[in-house]
Amino acid sequence: MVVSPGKVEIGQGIVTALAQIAADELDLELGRVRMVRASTAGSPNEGVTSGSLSVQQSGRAVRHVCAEVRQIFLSLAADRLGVAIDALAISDGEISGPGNVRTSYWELAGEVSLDRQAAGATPKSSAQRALAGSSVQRLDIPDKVFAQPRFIHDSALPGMLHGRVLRPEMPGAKLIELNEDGARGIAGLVAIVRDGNFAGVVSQSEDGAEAALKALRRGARWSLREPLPDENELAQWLKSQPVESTVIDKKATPYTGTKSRTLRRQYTRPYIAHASIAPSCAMAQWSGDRVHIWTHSQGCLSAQDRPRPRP
Amino acid sequence: MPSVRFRLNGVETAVDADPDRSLLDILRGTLRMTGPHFGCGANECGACNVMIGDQAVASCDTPLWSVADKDVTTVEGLGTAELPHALQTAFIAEQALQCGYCIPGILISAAALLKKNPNPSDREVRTALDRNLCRCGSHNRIVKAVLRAAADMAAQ
Repeated sequence: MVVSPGKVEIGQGIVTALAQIAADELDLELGRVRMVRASTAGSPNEGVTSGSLSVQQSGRAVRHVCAEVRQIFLSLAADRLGVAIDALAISDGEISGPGNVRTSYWELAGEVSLDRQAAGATPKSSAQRALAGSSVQRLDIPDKVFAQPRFIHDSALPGMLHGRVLRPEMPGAKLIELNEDGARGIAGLVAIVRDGNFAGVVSQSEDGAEAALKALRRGARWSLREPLPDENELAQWLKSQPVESTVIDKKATPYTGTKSRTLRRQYTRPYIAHASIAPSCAMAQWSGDRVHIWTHSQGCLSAQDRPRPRP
Repeated sequence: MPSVRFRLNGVETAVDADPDRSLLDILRGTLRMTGPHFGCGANECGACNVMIGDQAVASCDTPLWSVADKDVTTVEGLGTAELPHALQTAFIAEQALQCGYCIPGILISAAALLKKNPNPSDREVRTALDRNLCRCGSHNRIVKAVLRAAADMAAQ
């Protein structure tokens, strides 16, 4: 059974959670469910993978789809075996009924088209679920522990070129001048790309791209911008900024006795970013007028993150 | 181009390349051994750690010439799905990672620790992994997994 959800695995375990839901609803062993990574060509558009919404959104969809699929197979099996649908049971995809009649998903698969309107089959109640709600081992972990390529960084295509982007040393800086001479002299250079403040190099090799980028950086002159606020004084800096205040609620103190002591405290914490340690990486392959892009984006299905042709 | 010879995961290897290039670049780019990962490129994060001899070292910061005639071990050399290292089994058992990008380097640092100290304390594991960053925050599970691997190795 192949499931291609519209949510992406970023180490949060969603692909395993969705596989559990699918296996439960279809009465399959977890190992029978093959999860295919999200793609714009093969997955439903489930928007961005963020906000801890994947189980409730995609999980619910997978549960309903699988309930539907189960029902389709059960009614076909009832028909073929001449048994009432309620008398049938499914165990790891094997469908059996009274009088030792049996068939299976795989035996019937050739006769079933899933390209149809949903009839609204009812998913199992939570008490009937064997896998969802209990911990299983994540499906993606063995590959990561045994260094099987799981990251785009570790993939390669024949004839692949490598790119590097020239970043300013200060946020918001504008690229005033770009002398490309140094970079042009680096072996393996294929192109220098410039579009306003965006500049980058394309090379035949990764170290060629690094060397060309180094040379390009020496030839770049950026406008000075205001530096970022001191990271140790962020709380004070935030408080000193113009504010717009909105009162959400106002409550009178319910305690009417005399105050013996008032505590005033202020707590702050430093700026913390939660993210993967990996540098961003993407890969693209052109064939004819089609382009296939591999990305670690959490939003490859949402319209605003889709690649746009340059005007 | 001069040739640099070393043993990579036990296999005699010769590389014709500029000896000043980083070992990580050679491993990933030339030899297509993609277990060690590029994280920061500045010996700060440990994602590219490999063992040189029995020592865990950042391969991004190690020039190729410096490993001449030495033994280099990457995560690929620790074990396979068929013949896993106790650490790999323990990391699966403890589900000790989220995104997993840092894990090849962490497995190497932990393997180097267990070679020197087969029975480390919780604190010794934390000290040994101090130079390995994990931005997902899997640290506590990682420490548990290393301790579990040490116990499993002692029991064998």
